Amino acid sequence: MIDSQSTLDLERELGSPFEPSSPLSFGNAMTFDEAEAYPEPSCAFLDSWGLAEFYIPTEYGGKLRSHQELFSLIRVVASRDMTAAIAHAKTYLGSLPIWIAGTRSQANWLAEIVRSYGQVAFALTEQNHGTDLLAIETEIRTDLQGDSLHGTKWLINNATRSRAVVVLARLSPIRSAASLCLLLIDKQAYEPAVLCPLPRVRTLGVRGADISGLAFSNLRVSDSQYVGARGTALETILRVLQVSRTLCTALSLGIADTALRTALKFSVERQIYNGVVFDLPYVRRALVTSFADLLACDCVVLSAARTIDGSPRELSYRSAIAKALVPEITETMLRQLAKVIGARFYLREDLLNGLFQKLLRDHALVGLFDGSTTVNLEMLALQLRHLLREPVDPPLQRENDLKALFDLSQPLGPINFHSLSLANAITDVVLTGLESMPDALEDTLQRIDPDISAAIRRCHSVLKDALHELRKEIPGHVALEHGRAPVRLIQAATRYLNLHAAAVCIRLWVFNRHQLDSFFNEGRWLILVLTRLLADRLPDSVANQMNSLCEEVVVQELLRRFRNGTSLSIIPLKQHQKEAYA
Amino acid sequence: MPNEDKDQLTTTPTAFDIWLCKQFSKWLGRDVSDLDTPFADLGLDSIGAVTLSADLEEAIGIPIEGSILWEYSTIRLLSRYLTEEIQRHGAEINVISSSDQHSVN
Repeated sequence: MIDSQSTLDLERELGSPFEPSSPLSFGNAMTFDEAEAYPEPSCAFLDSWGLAEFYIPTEYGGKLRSHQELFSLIRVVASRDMTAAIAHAKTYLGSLPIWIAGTRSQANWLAEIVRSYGQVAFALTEQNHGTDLLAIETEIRTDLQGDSLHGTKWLINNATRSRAVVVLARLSPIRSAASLCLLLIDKQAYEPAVLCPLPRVRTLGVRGADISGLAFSNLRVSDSQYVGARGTALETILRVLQVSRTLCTALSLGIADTALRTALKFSVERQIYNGVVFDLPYVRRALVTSFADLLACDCVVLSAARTIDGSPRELSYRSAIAKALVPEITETMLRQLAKVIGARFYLREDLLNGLFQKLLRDHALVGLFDGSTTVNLEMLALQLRHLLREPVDPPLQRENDLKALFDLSQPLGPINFHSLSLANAITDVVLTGLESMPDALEDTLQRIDPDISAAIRRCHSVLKDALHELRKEIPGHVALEHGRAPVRLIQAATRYLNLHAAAVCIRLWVFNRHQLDSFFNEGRWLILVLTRLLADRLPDSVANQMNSLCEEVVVQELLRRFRNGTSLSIIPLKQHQKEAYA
Repeated sequence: MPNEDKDQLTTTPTAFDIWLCKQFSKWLGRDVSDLDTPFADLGLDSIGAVTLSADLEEAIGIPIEGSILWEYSTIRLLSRYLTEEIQRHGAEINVISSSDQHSVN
């Protein structure tokens, strides 16, 4: 399967996470976390492995040719230590404004920095202004000698350690997008008097990360340091966020993966009541539903990642969905798995060196940064009317376009960051295109096991009904309340997330049925995923029937993958070091 | 380049200006009648501005950039820009139905 070789290489080089001497072992992750220390050796290893090359587009001599590939690598790192993942991958986030809106000269300069393991930070937020970027106070002042930067930035990952930083500042006091600008700062070019780091902020999770700030005091900047045309800073930021918020969901996948394996390991080993914890029915149910949730999230992330490269015009809403949904599902999953693990989830030692509580604390960040759940939901709420509109384009072309995107064996064109665009009247054809049964889905349903076919057909029908009902709830025109989306619309958007996710899973299944493994092809995993996503639309009796049809097969597959070290993802990768869990 | 032109402040509103005021009043859930109040002062934040551009596109029938309300940040500026764009697309300002018409001085 394309895009997977680098992941296999990285996993192999990392070795077993249980081996204390291996880089990014669980033991090391815990040691650094307890000491609130930056994971230097982990990041040094990732540097020497060459991960930073994947932050540089091929156009500037790097290896970034596929976001599916990049996210797969980030997932691996996050599955070992989220602190190391955000410490290292922050450089990609910081570089994005330059790849998207920088000049060739800026990009070539930055590529050289990144290639030499220099880190890049992205300084947007201030202590008084986080979500509301139009209100930021860091400013440019102009005098006879030119422009200078003044102000402070707060809660910035790698603010202190970074070599370069992209800073958001205002050009005038007027509250408008046109007032904002982005600057590329080479920190080495300035004295401490004009540019100094601010102290680290202590956090619940990722305790070793450099979450600090910067203070600018009459820092001279030249024209060549402005990023993008004047007045386009906010647009650039929104385009950056479309990519970066999608990357965040790869962090969720990594953490969810480790959490599930940890719970599995515990439950097959821990003896209780003349058996093991795994024998308990509610435990099996919790584990299998967690696996289903992980697969659903994997599908959503795959879809969004491929959209960056293959259909960037559609990224805005798909990345918002991924960012609103995946961390929330993962939080639910983590709470459920904590119950399986019992008392040990609360310890900072013992089971996996006490790793599970770190997973919980670390993961709590993902729903917060790069566009919180709330912000993304609101954005979707305001676009719902357009997203759910009945498609007008010819079905054949639409289905062909979807196939090109969802068929994992299809390579996508070179990444074109300039094609990223702000949300506009886009229709969600992934979902709305399912209203009339697509030929490819119908063909598939006719060829497979009749019970599985009937269940998927039923879910498809439920999905259609849910879509129709959702449409009815959306008013004929948008009407803000005090400048915000009305609460009812946000609730509708929350339901929409699940419907889109269900559609993504169906599409991925139909378009990849003959190139993944038999577990994927058969489709019972899909039924389980759909019953979870459509839970509030299925009568209990129907859901129970579907679970009976699928659960045992999926449980056995989960155990099999756990024991022989195959990845818990849609694309099954044999990862030998994962066997160490079992 | 959209610059505030002080002379324009004394020009009477066109039918299109008035129609835009009505649309924005509906969309923002508040009275929008002044042609020169920035949208940001009417409670429209940067995300809202982007998403509203889709509704504008639908209402007017020509392609509209997501950043339009940032660049043309008052009714007056927006109206002027859209009038030119509509003509450029060879469309007409057909947005005013008989029920919307006012007498314009």
